[in-house]
Amino acid sequence: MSEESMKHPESDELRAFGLGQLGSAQAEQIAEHLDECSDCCDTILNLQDDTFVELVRDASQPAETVIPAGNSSGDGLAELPEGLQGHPRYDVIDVIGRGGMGYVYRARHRMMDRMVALKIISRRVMALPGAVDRFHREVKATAQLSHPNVVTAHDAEQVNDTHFLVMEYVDGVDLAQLVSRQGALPFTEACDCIRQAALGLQYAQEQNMVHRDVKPQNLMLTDDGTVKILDFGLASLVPGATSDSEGGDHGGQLTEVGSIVGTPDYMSPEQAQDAHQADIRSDIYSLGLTLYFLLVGRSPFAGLSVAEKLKAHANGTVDLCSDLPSEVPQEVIRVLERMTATDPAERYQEPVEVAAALHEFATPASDQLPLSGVRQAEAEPAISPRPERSGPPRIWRYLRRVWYTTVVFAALATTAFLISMIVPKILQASQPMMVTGGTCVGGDGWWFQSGMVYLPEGGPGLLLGMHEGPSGSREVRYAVLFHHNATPESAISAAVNSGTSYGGGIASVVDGITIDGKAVDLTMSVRLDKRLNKVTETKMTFNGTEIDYSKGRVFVVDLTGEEVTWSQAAVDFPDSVPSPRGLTEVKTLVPEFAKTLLAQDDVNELLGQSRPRHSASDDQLNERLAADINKAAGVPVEQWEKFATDRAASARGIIGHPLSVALLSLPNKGSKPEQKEFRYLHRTPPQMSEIHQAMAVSIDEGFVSLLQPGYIRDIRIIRSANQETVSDVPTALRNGVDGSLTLGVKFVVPELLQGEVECRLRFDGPRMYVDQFRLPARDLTITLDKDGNWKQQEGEEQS
Amino acid sequence: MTDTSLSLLARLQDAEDSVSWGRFADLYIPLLHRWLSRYEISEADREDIIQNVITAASQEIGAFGHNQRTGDFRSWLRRIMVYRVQNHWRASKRHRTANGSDVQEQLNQLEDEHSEQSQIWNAEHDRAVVGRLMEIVRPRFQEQTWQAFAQQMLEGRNPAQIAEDLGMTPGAVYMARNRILAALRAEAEGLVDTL
Repeated sequence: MSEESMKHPESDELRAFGLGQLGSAQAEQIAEHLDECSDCCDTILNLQDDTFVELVRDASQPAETVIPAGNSSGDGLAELPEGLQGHPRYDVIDVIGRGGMGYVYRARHRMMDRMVALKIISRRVMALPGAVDRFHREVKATAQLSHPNVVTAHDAEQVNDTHFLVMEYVDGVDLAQLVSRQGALPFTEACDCIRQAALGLQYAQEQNMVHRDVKPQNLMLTDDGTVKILDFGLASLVPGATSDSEGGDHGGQLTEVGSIVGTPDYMSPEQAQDAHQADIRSDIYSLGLTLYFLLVGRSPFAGLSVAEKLKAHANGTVDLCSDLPSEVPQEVIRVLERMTATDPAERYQEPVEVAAALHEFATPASDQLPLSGVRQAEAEPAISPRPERSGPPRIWRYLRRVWYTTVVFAALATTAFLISMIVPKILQASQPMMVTGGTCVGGDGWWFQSGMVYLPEGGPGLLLGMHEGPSGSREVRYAVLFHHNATPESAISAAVNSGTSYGGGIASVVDGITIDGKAVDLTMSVRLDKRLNKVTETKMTFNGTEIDYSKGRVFVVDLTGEEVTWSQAAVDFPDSVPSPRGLTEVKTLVPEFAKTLLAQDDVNELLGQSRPRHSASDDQLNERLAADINKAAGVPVEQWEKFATDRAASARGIIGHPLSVALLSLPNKGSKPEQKEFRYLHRTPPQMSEIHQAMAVSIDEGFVSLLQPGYIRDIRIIRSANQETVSDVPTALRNGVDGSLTLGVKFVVPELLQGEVECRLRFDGPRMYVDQFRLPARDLTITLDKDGNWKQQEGEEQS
Repeated sequence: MTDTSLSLLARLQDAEDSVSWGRFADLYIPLLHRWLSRYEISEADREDIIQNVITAASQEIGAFGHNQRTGDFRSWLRRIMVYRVQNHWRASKRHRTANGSDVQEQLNQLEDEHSEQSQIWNAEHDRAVVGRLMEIVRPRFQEQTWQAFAQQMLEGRNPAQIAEDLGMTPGAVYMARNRILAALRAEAEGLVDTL
């Protein structure tokens, strides 16, 4: 021990050290001393915190705030376990369910700003010997499950002595609720629900998991028609009782403390005898009875006592046929019978067989349901047919959503959109030859690049699909070369990037484009292993046909004939794979990549002799490309750069991205807004599909999605209900106006659309919305009536 | 992040608008959400108000000089929030509900710097900011260092024990405390009391 380190620091030095007020050189010396001197260690330990250190300690503890009065109106929030109130990570919003284990709450993850469901595991259950360990083990196993048909578990958490499961929030209804609301389902929909659930069970089985409590209450149907299995792993929590008998009306508690897990109505005979015997075939049995429930509207055992139910299961005396609706085809009845055979050996042995057997009878229920809330990944994109293309309607739906946020910028953009919908196709002589699908962030550091269609005049077109992992490793999964005779006028008549969706461990990229009147549909779905951060599986379909990847990932699509034909080549991709965002930013990348591909003999062979020659110089092409990218994407290049370099921002959304729309903010000085003075607040990151849709160009409808400040040339005040207080546009928008304010907006979409529109802004407290558009050129006025419908009238505005 | 020596406030002031905007949103949305959820405001309206407040905040922050008193920004944010909420109510005339008068009373209190409500606001603001700062600062340290800090300061474990568990010397555990607290102080300067 050196002399130096033995010399005790002054007490105010120690104090400064303990409070974090000391520079590092001095602090190092003290730390060295502390290694040797327990007295000084004790001094620090007993230091009085200052206000700031108190704050630091306090900030990590649950807040002691009360629940907001507005929310506690008898919906169970009053019983929110202590510690969940003002939880540092979760902001509990409301109760969404109540199971045998306890309440399920909807909550917002404060920092991630995403919705989650918190399922409280009752103390009674957790008090069972070993339950806490089992809970954490199960959640750990369950959290590995990542499939569109399985509700993802995020985490197991504990506050005080309350344990809860944090899981994906699914906006939808469970199948029991659905049936109680609307009665038995049409058999096609019932088949689809069961088919999807079977796919989820199959996946889980492949991960060595069985559910052991499959029942309608545990199958959620989302608004887009996806069925998701809830509560994987939870059944195993309760070795000595029923798992989660939903209140009393579903059979209630079993009194015998045997090894019975599962709900009697849906429990297989072997499971009733011994829970440990329950394998995946038990789940198939339960799923079979769930199918019956969906078809008939009640369980086959409704009204029986628990003991009678178990006996009926065991003896195979369940009559499943007599009450089935007559429309149910014989084949479906046979599937049902086989699923529910008493002897497990006589059942389907794997869920995937069930899915296959039901496939031809299945029609998703999604069309009947409104599109809202959480959008989930397509259910097993490789198996189910992809949904009908719907360009404008999707955009409409999107715009309605934006509309709702009632933001002036959205309003302006929508203005242009409306005009373009109703103004006859003007200025359409020269259409962009390029559509970009843009780059999307998939979350967790993943990027997916859907179609970037580059279609130069007189040269082969190119479309790339690629992804980039969190480590920056990137891969082009496919490249499509288009052999075409398209002219600028006929080129791309419709493009629907119905988008990338990223949910669970599956990402899918869907491109629908029409070139020269011929449809090309591409779907790439990628399965991710989030633990290893790698892609484990890629599937691709081309015009409905699944493609065997091993045969090559370069496709040449010939659009010159009557039919769309395609061929495939196993060629090497160039070494330098451009980054997804690079493609959007750097104008030369796509043509360069195209050139590298075309330099390969195999590709040339595929393209054949009739390969068109470049008619324009590279520079011209590049310039054109740059312009087209900017036009189509509508995101100024600097914004992308900023986004690309600021990872913190990327986790929450694209700063300044038009789709992160929420507000128009203008500089303090000057009356004329600069084009780039638009700023947006992102409350939540936009859905990737939304980005795609907004970027899509749909020329045959005569519009380009216009959420693009660059198209606005001038904004002026035409009239104001309160003349004297309105000096300039920025001030007016920032402070609001009593009543209304009419703005004239001049916009130009180069080569496509231009004009002026007047929009009347209505101010309602902090809210601002457009309630009237006028097109002076056509003397046309569109007004929002009090029912929220837009009415169109010729002539002067009615006020 | 290269500018670690600057406080968050300074970075917010220096940042380009759009970046400042995003960081503001990040920092204040959770706080405002929580606070506003106490008043009877619909989700959509609440979001509108929050957006308004944050826009205003990100515009004004540049004007906050380094010699402003700590807490000025916090007070300013409180006032703009109250102003926006009252505006909203005037417009929607919805404050005449059962709890309306209570809530109105709370809002009036919030206008007064020294009221109990304002004190609560200050506390919650500071909490939210410091909580967020911890998230900002954490990635700059090795996990071991963070653990040494967190177990010591947040979980109240004995540093000697922590040193043993983490395979560090006791001095290093205390050093972690000093370094991370110092980093937090630097970040927090101007936004919350650091002295």
